[in-house]
Amino acid sequence: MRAPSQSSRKIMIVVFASAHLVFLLFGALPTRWRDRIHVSSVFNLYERVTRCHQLWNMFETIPNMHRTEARLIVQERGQKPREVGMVLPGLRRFSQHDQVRLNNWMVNVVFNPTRGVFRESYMKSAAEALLRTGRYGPRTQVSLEVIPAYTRSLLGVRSLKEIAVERPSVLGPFELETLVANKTQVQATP
Amino acid sequence: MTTGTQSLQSRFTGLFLNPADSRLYACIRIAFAFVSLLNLIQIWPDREIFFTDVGMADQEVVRKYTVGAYLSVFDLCRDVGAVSNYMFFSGCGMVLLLLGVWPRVAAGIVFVWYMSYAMRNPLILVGWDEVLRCTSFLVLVSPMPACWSWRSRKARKRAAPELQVPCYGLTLMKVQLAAIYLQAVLARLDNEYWMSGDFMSFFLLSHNARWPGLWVLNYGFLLKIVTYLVLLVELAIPILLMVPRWRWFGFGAGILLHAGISLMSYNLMLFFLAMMTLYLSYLQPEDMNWLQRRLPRRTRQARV
Repeated sequence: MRAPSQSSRKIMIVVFASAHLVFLLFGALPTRWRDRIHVSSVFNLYERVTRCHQLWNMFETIPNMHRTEARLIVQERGQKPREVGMVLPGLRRFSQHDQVRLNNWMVNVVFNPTRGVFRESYMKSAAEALLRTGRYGPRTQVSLEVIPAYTRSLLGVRSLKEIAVERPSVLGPFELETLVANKTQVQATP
Repeated sequence: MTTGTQSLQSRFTGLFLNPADSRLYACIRIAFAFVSLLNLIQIWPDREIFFTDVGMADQEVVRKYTVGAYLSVFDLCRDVGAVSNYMFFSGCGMVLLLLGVWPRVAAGIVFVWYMSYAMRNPLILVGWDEVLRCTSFLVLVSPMPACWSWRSRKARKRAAPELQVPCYGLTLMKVQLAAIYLQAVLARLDNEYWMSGDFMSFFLLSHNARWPGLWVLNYGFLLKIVTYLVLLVELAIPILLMVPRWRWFGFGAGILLHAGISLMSYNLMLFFLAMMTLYLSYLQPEDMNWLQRRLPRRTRQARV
């Protein structure tokens, strides 16, 4: 009785390991190349089932990004605009170097044109957090100010003796009341 | 002809069924559990930001835009208390895996943790999360020999740990490491920064760098060489590791590469450690003998 069960275990191991081996070999190809091959849908399905995503584009993430700052700008009617931290909850300040995962959130959400829906959802949560503090009224306006500094060309850095140039962008302003009531009013790109 | 086919078949099945030293699996299990625990400790202070309903990513939006089924324990843990409890539970799973107590269950808990947080907040994932998740799957499906594990006296009397187990887990880990490097290099072939050789200069001026500054410009030519050398080294590492005689060159090159990345960048030590876990699959039984000789005698007797 023991021999057949051992042998079926071995068959199972060989079948599973062969399938995963083929998956890994196919996964060694960059995504752009994989997508051109017909079996990519089977690959994607297997990838989703095993959660072994094969995307190894290490250090491709904006190599010309020198630094980023981000904050919420809150302005009540007739008053000066005030800077508030953008990290939820607690409206804490964003620190690019201390929070590597938050930095990735920034890259993935703010600088990715296809992620408008996450920006909308963030602005709504930020509006709720601002209202919860009790310091701001529903007609207060809020915007997300992002100040990325992009590295100049190496020639530019050499001649200007300055590493990066800032290109600020602003998402907003929006009324807190409007954001909380209807998040779809936030536009897709900052 | 038939003999040739049989030989080919036996070579192929040998890739998965040849006996492997069970201490290699134990070594990888311990290292993986340790790195997972460090990763969890790193995430812990920001758990409210990443995983709760009042944090940076709305769970309902993430669920809506997840491709395929949304399977995350965080679906049941929405406030900071529940998130903390779940993370603590996952941490216990990692400790059990490290000690080798109920290792399969523990590996399952750890795999579910990686799957859950990747689903809950895909926007915060970093390179080592992906490496650790893929490793967690391979650890889960690999043999779990009882060696180098904490076992009761009764259990030790009942059965001695297996000395040899099938090698399929190690084979898949080796290929996983090779696939990471190969894809990383191929993906850069049409990247202007890499192909022009300027990547390293830009990287050292970027937000990832530990000491960005104008000093980088003084080393332009050297950094061009380093850029191309990195591509070459990443291609060479799997080949060097696969040839037993050259494996120490592979280990050396890999350690230098990742230590260099960790030194020059912010917050990438976990990436170094996650990659090193996969490197362990290239160790040989004689390396384990060497390691075991260096363990204190009491630990050696208790564990083996």
